[in-house]
Amino acid sequence: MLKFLVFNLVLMGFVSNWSLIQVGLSMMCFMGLLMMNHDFCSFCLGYMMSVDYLSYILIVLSVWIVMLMVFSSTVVKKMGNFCVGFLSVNLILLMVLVLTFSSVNYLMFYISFESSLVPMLVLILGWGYQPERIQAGIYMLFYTLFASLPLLVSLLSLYKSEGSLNMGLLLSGVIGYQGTSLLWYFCSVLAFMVKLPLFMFHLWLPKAHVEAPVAGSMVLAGVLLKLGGYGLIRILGVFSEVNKMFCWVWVSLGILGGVIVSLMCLRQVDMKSLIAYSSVAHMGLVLSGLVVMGGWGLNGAVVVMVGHGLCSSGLFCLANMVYERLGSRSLMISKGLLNVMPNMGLWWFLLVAGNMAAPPTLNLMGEISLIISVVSWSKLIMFSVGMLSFFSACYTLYMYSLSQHGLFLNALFSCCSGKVVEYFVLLMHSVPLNIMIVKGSLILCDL
Amino acid sequence: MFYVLRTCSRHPGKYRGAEWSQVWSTCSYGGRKWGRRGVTTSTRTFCPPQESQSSRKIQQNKEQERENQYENPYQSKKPEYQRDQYDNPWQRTVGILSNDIKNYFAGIRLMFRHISGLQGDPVPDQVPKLTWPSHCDVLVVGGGVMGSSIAYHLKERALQGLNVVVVEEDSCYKRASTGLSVGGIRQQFSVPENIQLSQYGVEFLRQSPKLLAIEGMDPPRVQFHPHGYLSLASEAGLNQLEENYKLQVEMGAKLKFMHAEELKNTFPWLNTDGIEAGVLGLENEGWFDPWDLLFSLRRKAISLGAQYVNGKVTGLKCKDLDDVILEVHYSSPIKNLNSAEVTLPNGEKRSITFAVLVIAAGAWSGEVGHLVGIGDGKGIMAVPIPVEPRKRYVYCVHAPEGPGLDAPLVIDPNGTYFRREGLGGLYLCGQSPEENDEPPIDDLEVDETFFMNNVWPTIANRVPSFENLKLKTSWAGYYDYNTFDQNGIIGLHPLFSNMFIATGFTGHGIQQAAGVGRAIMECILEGKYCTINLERFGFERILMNEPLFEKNIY
Repeated sequence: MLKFLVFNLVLMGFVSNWSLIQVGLSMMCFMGLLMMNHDFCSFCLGYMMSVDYLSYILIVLSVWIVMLMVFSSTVVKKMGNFCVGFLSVNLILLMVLVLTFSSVNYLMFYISFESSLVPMLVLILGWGYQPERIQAGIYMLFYTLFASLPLLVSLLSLYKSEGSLNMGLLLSGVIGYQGTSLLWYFCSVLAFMVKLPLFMFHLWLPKAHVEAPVAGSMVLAGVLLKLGGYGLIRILGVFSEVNKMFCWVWVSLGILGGVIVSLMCLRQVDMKSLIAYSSVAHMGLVLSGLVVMGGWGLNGAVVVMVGHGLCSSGLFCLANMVYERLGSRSLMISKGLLNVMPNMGLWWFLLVAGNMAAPPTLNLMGEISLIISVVSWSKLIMFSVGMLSFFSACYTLYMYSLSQHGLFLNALFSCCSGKVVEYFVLLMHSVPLNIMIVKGSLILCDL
Repeated sequence: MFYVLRTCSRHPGKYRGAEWSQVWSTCSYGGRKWGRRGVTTSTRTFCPPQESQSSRKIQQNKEQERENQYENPYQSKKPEYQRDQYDNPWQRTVGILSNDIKNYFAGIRLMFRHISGLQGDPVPDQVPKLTWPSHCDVLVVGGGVMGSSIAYHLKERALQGLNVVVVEEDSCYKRASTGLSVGGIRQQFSVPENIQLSQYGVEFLRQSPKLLAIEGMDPPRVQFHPHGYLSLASEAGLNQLEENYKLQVEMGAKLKFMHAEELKNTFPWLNTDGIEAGVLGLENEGWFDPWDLLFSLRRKAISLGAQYVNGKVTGLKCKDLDDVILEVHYSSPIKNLNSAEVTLPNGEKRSITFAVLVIAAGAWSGEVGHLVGIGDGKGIMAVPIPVEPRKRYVYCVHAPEGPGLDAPLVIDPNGTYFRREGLGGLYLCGQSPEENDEPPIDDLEVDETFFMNNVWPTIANRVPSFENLKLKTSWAGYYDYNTFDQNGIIGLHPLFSNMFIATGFTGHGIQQAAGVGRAIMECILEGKYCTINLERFGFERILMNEPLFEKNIY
């Protein structure tokens, strides 16, 4: 993975040139996609970094999303709002993310996991809209920080008891499911639950999204939430015994929390807030499928993580396009957009269909796998899972219909229907989302 | 009315504005967690008395203010805004985080203070400062009754869905037309939409104790006196009166058409010389207290979450939508307003970005229009918003033998009006001066000779018992006079995609405030007029030179 990091560091030297960074990031994507012919075991080993199929697809996702972030932040460039700082923060974030996904050592993973908070915070508070209003920064910082301190303690005790923190060497795991093991388990997974976010620890996400600029929202929804999922996949293997006793906590919180949050989506008036809450619902399903520790669940989780990353990030782009034109994110004012931006209606619909897991999007494959996984664990949960899927379609269609259909604000003339760069960004979001189902084996694990 | 009269009687001939702004501002301590839906009681804006010229007086006032501050724990200076406009993102991050932490602890300290029951006002630098609303969804320029009604209707329908900010230059409303108005409401118009607006206005007034009530505070008391209007017509105006009467009855108004004889029988104090007929409003007409309406609307809007900013809009930025393809060729491109520059009373300039702008600045709306070029430009932009301030006098007289409790608001054929005020034999009267006789508008000084020469003779002629009245006090206020056709201008401007105008009501703004507020709310939230169709009042009529005159009765 050194090739990514070196490329990144070199790009940081050229941050004064916006178009060069755009080109450079696209080249990095291409370079990453060249390695798609891997064979699902660890590859690119070296220097305490290695990549297996899961890390690989998430690294590709990160580079993809950061590239699209830079393309959609043309407002920063036009206003001249500290472009150099903006691009360097983005590149630092990319570097940290690549490090996180490719680390082989749990401690290095933890350090990079925490370091991704710093550029994220600077991005949200530095270029955000009105971050003072609802203390987005404080919420995000303290929620994730306090939840991950127990993880540090748990990793250090793991080092003490096992002698190494290498991911490949901890296959025996923690024996026992009472007492210390229990505490150990909860300390370790709490950080990822907050990052995912799980229903009871999710308050920071809508606040962060509402105040973040488009770049911040895209990377937050697209990649940072997946850090939680990725971390869970890596760490649950160590605690498999305890997990078997307590997965009911996470499954219940995930599914029922998802249902509650989907209902809350129907009451939102801010577009970004609605998409943020929908992320919580999706990740709740991911978590439930994952902790059941089955093959279907693992596959489903990975697929939904990738699909949701593309889809949510695309929806945030669209919300930002509306905000740039109309000056407001409120669903009560930005209505009837089909009248003024009919071309965007196509992209709105494609991404909205992705959000509700309609065929042929990647989300469909993932959700089916996750539903199979969760129902295999308990048949009774079928009702809640059904409600979760149903309401996710409800609020997605609600958002689409409320923003697109109806009368436009009594103004007589329209705004710009869509610039080429915007179409490009949305194309890059929807095409992988819709096409990858054809060769799902690119993401699915052949166990 | 009571406030106006009280201050007027203390300083005759000079209106001083409210001594205490009746506004209870909300403070958000450490963010929304601590802010309550209701209105907190800890701050009350103190309106200083009129500035005097001598420095000694200023010194005395300052000392008095300082004394008052320590005497009354509930009194605090005008709210300060956080100095948070760092441009540099790194500084901004650090600044915001540290402010948030400080506010959090200040909020906790305040909570402990409440719990331990201390009554003292916290030391000023520990009180968390208000955050400046740098982004909002709807910006209303002008916080008089029109602006407050728009803010109230928007927030009532949208609740948390819309961020509404009202910019008001003067929290004491010294020059605003609302407080200085006589407060009448009538349905006797000749334009059907005006009748509908007034009908909704009365309904709103009747329901205001319920609609504008806030938990834990006294309900609004608009003191609606439903005593009706009596429009008198001479022979020249008889036809017009009949026509108007027919229309009004068709629209559902309950009126009584009376010929001179019947008038004489019903109102023995009335002298019907030269009067052929009159129309009396039996229901839904009368007068009320405009101050109470204004402050109830304002208070309720604030409690629902609107934010009032004390400042003056001194700049408006717009961007040209030059990529819009139009079928008609205009001399200037369509513009989209996006940000306003507000000058605070301490001279600071801050900006607010918004999605929709509503101009409800009353008599000064023409000036606001000029800020963005309406009135200096070519083609459509050459037409200014035709609203300017015109001074009108209101005289309060005492006539011990005047008409009794059943006297309606009487309008003489030449435009003079009078109405009863209170139960002590006081009457308010006034008259609109001739077109070429307009008084100067630079201040609100009252000209008593106008009363002696124009008003008194007319009312004394109409009601003989007014011969021996005594002029007690008087005040002057501005009409937001629409020089085009003296009716309101409501709706979008054709060249701006997000600018609404709600002004130019020329003296009947107070009665139409509720209806216009609701209409603008419908335009913004639903894209069209749902209840009362006010399309005819749009700005286009000025461009197409189709005036919508009220057919007055002579």
